[in-house]
Order: sequence, then structure tokens, then C-alpha cells
Amino acid sequence: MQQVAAIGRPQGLAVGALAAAATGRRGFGHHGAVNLAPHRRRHSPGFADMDDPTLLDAVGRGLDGAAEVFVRRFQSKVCGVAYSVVGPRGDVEDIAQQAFVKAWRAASTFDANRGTVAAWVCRIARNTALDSVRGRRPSPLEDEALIARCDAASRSADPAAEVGARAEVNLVRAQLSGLPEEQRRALLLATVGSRTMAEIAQLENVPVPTVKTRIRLAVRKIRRALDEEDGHE
Amino acid sequence: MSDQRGSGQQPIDQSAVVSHEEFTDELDALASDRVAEPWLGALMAHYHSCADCRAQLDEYRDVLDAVLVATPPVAPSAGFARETASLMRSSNRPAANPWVRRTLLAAAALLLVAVGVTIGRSTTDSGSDNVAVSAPIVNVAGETIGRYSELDSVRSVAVVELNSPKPFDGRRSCVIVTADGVQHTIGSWTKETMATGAWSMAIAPEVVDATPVRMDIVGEDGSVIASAEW
Repeated sequence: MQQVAAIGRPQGLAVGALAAAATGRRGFGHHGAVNLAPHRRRHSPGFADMDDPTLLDAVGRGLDGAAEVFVRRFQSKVCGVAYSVVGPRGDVEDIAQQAFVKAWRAASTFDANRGTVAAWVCRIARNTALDSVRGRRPSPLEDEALIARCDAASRSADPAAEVGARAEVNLVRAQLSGLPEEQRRALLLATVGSRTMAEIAQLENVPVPTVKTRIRLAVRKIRRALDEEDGHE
Repeated sequence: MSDQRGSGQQPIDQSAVVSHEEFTDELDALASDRVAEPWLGALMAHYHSCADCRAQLDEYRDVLDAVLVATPPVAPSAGFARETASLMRSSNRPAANPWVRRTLLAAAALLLVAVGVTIGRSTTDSGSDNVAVSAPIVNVAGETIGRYSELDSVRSVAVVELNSPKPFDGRRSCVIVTADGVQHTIGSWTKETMATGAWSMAIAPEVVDATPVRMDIVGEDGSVIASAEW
């Protein structure tokens, strides 16, 4: 019977890596005496070296120091997603904190087959933000500001993104930038802005089927680009 | 969370037929896990019967993820990470591994009855070493509906846990398929005995020795409802 080290580890984690991170050591192969206390005070450099699923697993296990590293890694994305939903009048940081607590509690449910940790935590942030504004309809001004922010970001690369994710982030932004305006607006309003088809139709003054067509065309183009990128890796 | 039809005006009958238009109205809610039963069931029935809508949702979900990650970042105030981590620490600590805890508790109950030994030690986190197999249970529609585990303690135990068990008629059998292709029915449950979402049964030594490779949940008509492979 095939043996597994433990269950609930999204990516088949190396026990040694977690233990090393928890103690501040770089791994079991470290030679010589190790003074552990100073490493702990520096928030365990091992956590910062972990890939996203491994770090999330460490967060779920409650390893000291992992949560702060996790929050630092994703805080700008989470706050960005929250801001896109609630706008400048919302309490972005309060929503982001709620999202991180939810992510921490749900760490063991992360399924790597459904996407990346970044996407997972962004979805949690988006849903948390949507819950906070339930019943409040966005104003057209907020929608235009949202599109303007995304357009500005689409025209630039993201040097702050982690190396592993930077290529995809920049690819998506380039693809968004290259979409016909009506498709880009519809897709951004639906995804980043979390607007319903009916709300987008009203804002754009077009029938709902037209909104759906625009979104589908945009989705297909970006999905094709993502698939091609995956094929090149 | 949306638990109503499309515009959110009227609750629906789960058996209602969902149109393409209604399905595509809910693409974003579906991709965001923001649809609740019974509307979710009706939408997923359409998803599994309509290749075009299935493709649309799969594509939308991928692109939604990618676009969210590419959303313009917003830098929080100084000290946000430390404050948030502190908030997380001050909240109730989550179970280090809920699946291990639940499966071991289920197994403990069984073993106490079947073997008559105390295995309180296994309910601690360190007991995770007793987990020999852990695999998601996936139904014929490709949805993950629970988790199958095998525990090696005093003897091997199969544990089936379902995320949200739904009512059903008759019995469901747990069939272990071994590497030689032989099917071994090790037990069955009804909706009453699966009400808690967890079921466990000892596995005969000869089945363990034949190297289990798959678990099938089989209906009374012999159809495979869901499987876990490892």
C-alpha cells in the first residue's frame, strides 16, 4: 500500500522543510551547532524561502512566524482585490484582515488542482469584500475609477510580483491591454468589479446578451494566451 | 451567496431545467463558489449536460483567477502584516490538520468497539503517522465530494468522509479494488448511518496484503457513484 507522509498537505510537503522553517534552520543537511533563538526572532528565514503551497501549509499548522510571512507575501494583492470591490470608501484593511483569517482557517481545504494559492486567497478576499458591500450598488463613478486603475496597471509590468507569478501577471495585463475596449470593460467589471451581467448591461447601455458575448470573447483570448504560455513552459 | 434563480427573485425547484441564459448569468457566482443549494444543484446539472456551458465556466474560472491575481495591488499601512498575524494568533487556532483529527476520531470509535483497545494517543496530531492513504473522493461528474483514508493502527481501517452528504435511498457500498483488479466489498451504509458524514470499517488483512489502489462508492444497482484513487 502506498504510504503518504500525512494528509492535508496540498503539495506533498517535505517534512524536513517545515521542521527547518519552524526552527529557523535551512534544512536537515545543516552542519555544526545551531543557535536557534536568533533565527526565531528573525521570523524564520525558511518561511520566506518557501513556495506558496508550502507556506500556506505552514500557516495552517500554526507554525510560529509563518502567518506574518504569508500576510506580507499576499497583502498587496488582497488589499488590491478588496479595494476593487469596496472602493475608496470601504474599509479595505479590515476586509483584508478578515480575508487572511478566513484563509488561515481554511488552509487545509486549499486544492492545488483548482489553482494557485494567490488566486485562492484573492477569491477569498473578493468574496469577503462582496459580503461587506451586499446590497450597496456601486456608482458609475466607482466603476470608471476601477477601469481606469486596471487600465493603468495593464499598461505596465508588475516588478513587485513574485518571480514565479510575474510572467503570468504581466501576460494577463498585456492581454487585457490588447482587448477591444468594450470587451476589456465588460471583463474588468465582471471579474475585478464583481458586477452582475445586468449591472454591466445597464452601465454600458447594451443588452445583457451583448455583455455576455463581450465577456466570452475576452475570456477566450486570455485563456488561449494562458494556454500558450503553459505550453511554452 | 446566491441561493435563488438568476436575478435573485424566486427560489427554485432543484429539478427545474436551467437554460443556457440562466447558466451564463451565474458564471461569476459559480466561479466564485457563491451559489448555494438548491440553485447550485440545478446549475451543476446543466453544467454536466451542456458541453458549451461547461467550457464557458471552466474558461471563465481560469481567467477570473488570473485577472484577480493581476489586479492592481494596494499597499496596506505599515504594520498591517504584524497586526494581521497577531489577529490570527489571537483567534482560535485551527485544527492542525482537520482531516487527520476527524478520521482518527472516527477510527478511534471503530477500534474501541472492534478491538477493545484504547487508542487515545491516535487522536493527537502526532497520530498522523497512522494515516496510510488519503485521497479525495470524486464523483462521476468530477466533483470532489469527500475524502477516503486508510489508517494503519491495530489493524487497517477504511474511513469515508463526505463533505455534505445528500439524502439517498437504499444502500451505498464501499468497494476496495486491489492491484490485482479484484473488488472487495467491505461494508455499506444507509442515509441514516451516513447522517454524520463519516463512516468507517475495518479492512480484512488479505485485502490489505493485496494492495488496495482504489475505493468505489457503489449504488444498489451496481453503478459506481464516486471513487478515490491513490
